[in-house]
Amino acid sequence: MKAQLVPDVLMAAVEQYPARTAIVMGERVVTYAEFDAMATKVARSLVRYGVRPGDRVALWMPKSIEAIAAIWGIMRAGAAYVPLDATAPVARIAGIICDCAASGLITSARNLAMLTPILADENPLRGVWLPEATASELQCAAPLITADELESEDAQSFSVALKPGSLANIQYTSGSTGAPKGVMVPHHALLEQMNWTQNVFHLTPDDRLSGHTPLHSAMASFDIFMSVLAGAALYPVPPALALFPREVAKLWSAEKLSVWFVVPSVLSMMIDQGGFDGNDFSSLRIVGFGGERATYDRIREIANRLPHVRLFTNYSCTEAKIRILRELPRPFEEIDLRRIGPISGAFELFVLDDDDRPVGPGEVGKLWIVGSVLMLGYWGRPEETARALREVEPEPGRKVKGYCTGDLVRRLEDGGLELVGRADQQIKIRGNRVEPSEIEAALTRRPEVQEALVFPQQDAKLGLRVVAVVVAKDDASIDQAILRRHCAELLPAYMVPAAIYVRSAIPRLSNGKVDRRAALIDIEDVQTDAT
Amino acid sequence: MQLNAVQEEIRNFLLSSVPAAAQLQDLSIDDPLLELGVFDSSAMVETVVFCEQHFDIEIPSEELKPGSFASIRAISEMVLRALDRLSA
Repeated sequence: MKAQLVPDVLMAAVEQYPARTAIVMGERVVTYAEFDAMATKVARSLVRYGVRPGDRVALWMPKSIEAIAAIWGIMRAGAAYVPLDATAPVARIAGIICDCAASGLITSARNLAMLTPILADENPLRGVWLPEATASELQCAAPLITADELESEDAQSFSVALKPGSLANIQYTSGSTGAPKGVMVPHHALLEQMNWTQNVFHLTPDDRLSGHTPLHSAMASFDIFMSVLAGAALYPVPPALALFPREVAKLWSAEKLSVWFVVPSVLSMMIDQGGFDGNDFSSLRIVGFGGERATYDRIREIANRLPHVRLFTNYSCTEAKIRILRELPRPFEEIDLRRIGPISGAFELFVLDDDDRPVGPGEVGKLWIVGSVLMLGYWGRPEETARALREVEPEPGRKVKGYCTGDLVRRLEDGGLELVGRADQQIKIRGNRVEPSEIEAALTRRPEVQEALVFPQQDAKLGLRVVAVVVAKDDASIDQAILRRHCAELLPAYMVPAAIYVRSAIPRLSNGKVDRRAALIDIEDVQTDAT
Repeated sequence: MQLNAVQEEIRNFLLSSVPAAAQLQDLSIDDPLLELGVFDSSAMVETVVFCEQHFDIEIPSEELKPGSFASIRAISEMVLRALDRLSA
């Protein structure tokens, strides 16, 4: 039977491969039957405390087998899982829990201790689940469900009535209006993405997947779902180890992994730290890149170190569950990494101009996605949804709902597509989407800041990071350390400006618009002077 | 160089340059930095670069493991090991 809902995929895996390994972390090896029981117990407990189909359940805990089982459990209960950045500041987490009116929170004891003081007594939570904790001295304004109670639930599987178009997941991402926004993903879009990825990769139950991506990232859907779809084994990298690429390489060699789905910079760091020396990657057969644009030099270096491996670049986006995989030629040769495709899947791509009309060959326009992979919208933001999801006429007489990615793309003479840049300021830092305006909004919340401008900046050692130019209000004095700490209380670490430059004014063009180029040249001059 | 002097300088660096560390009320030398989520990947690289430049040492890639960054004490001991290698 074809899966209609995401949990059907786990149901199928446990029927076919109950005794095979589902997930391995450190010394723990969990079979599909055991993993399914973990997920079911979470689902039954959620339902017991009043979580209903269509509800949202937030997941805020370090990566673990329990955390991944909870994702499946939430969906089995008919709710949507809302994965939150395990390292994000607590104020941001509390904001998201309230924004999506989560009826459940699955977290760790340490995280709950941080959250409790700022979580209001009037909160939407029907319960807080602590799947790794047994202690009960914790205080919370909602019922606490610890590991013992979860364990006592019935492991007999069950399903709830949902439609393929029902909400499966809300993916929070940087928002251009100053607060994170929730992308609502339906079950059928996740299933489309899984099925088309499988058509390219042909994963088998013998595969072993890397599990390197943080759970809150949209890219993690590969690890979480593709392993189960194939009946394969997932090897989540423990969070503390993920910071040490050389150690990760040792782990992947020892565990004989066959599929890595990673941001390319991790492999570059691995190579730089000697992680490819003395390790055996002969079991590896597929490496997929995601999350960030890789330079040609990096990809070539990786390709040369892994001559037996099939390498794939990937074009994807959060608002539409596409994963356009492109296999790199072997032997590795000069290719244009900006090219998107070949395109296969239950979607189409169109390049439209500012008036939503198709562009001609050789012309640049915005990339639109059409098909059954689209998000349902942004949670609680009908106006932004209406701007992003619109009816367009990509071909004469054919009106369809599309999503505008904001990526600028050239339609090539041969019908192919080439990525040119962004129509807005959005950037990606190590796989995370960043809207500079969200950081600017955080900076201008400080009383001493009149105006702020945020840019990406490439650092030879540290990679891409953000820097800010600020203008003081009246004659207020600006302390860089205080501003960075303020940002760290509101934003994830990768969005905190690495440097903040104080200027008397933001440069403007004659039409009054901010002159980003002039502002950037100005701060780059300062850096040159300093060295 | 004394261990406690190195510890103080690393503590000052973390408080001034690593946003997640600056958020902690009082950062002690035995706080479990990795469990507390003090580092993301760029803070990790920045910390390595700081130690190399500030103490004029080279941190070998064998040291890039959880044990060397578990706490301020562990980082300081790693710095002293590197200093010892220089004077040896």
